[in-house]
Amino acid sequence: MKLETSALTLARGPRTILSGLSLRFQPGTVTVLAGPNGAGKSTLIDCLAGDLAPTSGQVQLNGQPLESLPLQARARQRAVLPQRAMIAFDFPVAEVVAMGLHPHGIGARSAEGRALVSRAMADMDLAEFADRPATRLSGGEQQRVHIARCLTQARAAGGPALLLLDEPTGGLDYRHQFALAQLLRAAAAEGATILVSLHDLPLASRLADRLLLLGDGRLVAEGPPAILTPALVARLYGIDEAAAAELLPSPPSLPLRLAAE
Amino acid sequence: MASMAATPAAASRHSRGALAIVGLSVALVLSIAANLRFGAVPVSGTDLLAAFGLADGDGGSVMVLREIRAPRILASLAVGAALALSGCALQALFRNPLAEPGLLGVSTGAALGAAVWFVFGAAWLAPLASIDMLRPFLLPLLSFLGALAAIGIVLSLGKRGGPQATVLMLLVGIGVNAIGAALIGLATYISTDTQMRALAIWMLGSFAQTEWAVLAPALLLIALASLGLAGTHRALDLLALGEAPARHLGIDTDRLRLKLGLLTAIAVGASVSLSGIIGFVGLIIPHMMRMAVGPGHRLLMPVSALAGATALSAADLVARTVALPAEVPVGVVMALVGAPVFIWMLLANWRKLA
Repeated sequence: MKLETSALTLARGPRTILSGLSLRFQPGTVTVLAGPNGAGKSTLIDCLAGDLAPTSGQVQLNGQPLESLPLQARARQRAVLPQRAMIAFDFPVAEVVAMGLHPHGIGARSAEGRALVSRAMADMDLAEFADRPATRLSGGEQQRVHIARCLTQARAAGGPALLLLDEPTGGLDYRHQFALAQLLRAAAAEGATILVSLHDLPLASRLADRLLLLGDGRLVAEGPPAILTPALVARLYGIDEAAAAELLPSPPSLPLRLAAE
Repeated sequence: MASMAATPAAASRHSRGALAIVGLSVALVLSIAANLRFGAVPVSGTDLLAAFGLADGDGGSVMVLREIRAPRILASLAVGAALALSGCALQALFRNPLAEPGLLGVSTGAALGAAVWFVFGAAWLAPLASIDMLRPFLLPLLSFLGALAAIGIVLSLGKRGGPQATVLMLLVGIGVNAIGAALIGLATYISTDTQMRALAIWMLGSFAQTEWAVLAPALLLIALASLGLAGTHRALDLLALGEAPARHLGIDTDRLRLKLGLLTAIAVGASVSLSGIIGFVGLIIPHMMRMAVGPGHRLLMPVSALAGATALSAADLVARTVALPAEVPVGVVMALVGAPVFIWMLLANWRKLA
């Protein structure tokens, strides 16, 4: 699943939120999107998900313009985790996770559907909550429910899929942050294309094959985690260099894929 | 829903669904029987059999059963089911248990359409009304157009998100209700005495005017709209995640909103053309059924339709018999029961609203 943008620009009235972004997301890689508040991270993910139409430029999925693909076809190829995932009414956790099966026409009661749902629930440590209404769980637990739903949707594709995750670690404790990071590495190893926005630079540098640093709607820097220098971080976030140096792991920590093996 | 059998607790919810359907079906049969049996004109068991051509009964009683009670019961069942299903659909669309055709002004919009028919119908629609096949559909059509206008306003203004979405939705509903009521008031002002009386009954909600001729077209429309609404059950489940996430799962949410708006307007329009405004059925019934069988719409919608039919036919029995030989408008009975439940629901949801 190859995702590309060419000269992607999005303006709202006089404000330019994204300007001229030409990006490529390759199968088998985890790309982490980082940058200060208001840099345009969520807007970029909304454009890539097809929720916002760019003012100019294009998004292409496997070489085809995104807008030419029917919603059903998109849903079979990529899963999206919004920044503030929620659910109305007291749907039990297992039913929320099973919603990820919908685009693939897999019944939640079929053997295949049940296997996919229990695997995702086990991955996100949700087995004990299966019958509890998702709305009664804590914020971090609810986030895990929605991550499990996205994992189910991506895995039900039966082949490499695209995952767009907007701040998936919001509300997650360390254990589940690490669990998620390892799951994403494993999915990438199987050929998935993954884009994750994160605020946590140490986690980002352990998870990412490639970092995209966004500032004010522009691409500030792009490359492997090693590009994160105190000078760059200080400039990107407008903090002083000594503080930036303390944020960054030194020496750079092992990439997570090695830690996982 | 579909994943129910996956776990023991889910399986128990499944059997609760079966229990709800059996229990409600029994209650429905009892309500129909009581509605046939009791009323201003005494009816014996033999008369009941005679109405079905199975015995010889009193001619007058058989006439009452066939021409007055039977269409009236059918009307209350259809309207109860239609309002409950419309409540389910609107609540899913707004992701809010307080959305309801009455509170949102959809019923008032439909009543305004009916008022236009009563007051101006003869003058404006004479050429159409002269065509025999069209005539029975004109009142439901005007009610539908009124409901559609109201639902259009509510959907375009009330869907804006944010933490105050519920408050905004209810306030827009108050506004739409006020506009509708004002225009109906205006129609009252320029109507004749007979028209005014018909309008007053319409505003309070009553099945006293039901007869076979008006019932048939409305039943047809309600049946079609109900099947259409029930067919969207899976999309309504996914809508609980929000519009963008539902789209990410392949649901065309713009089309779905349009479809739900149209089907709800048909269901409410046809209902109001039969009975006038009856509030709170669409609020209380889906809420209680959600507590009983869970929020999955594949089960919630048929169970709500069954419960709505049972509740409204039972309420109409009360309305017909509580003040014999006179009768109370059934809309008043429903409001007396429903409004306190609405206030209770508001308080129960207050933490989320405030």
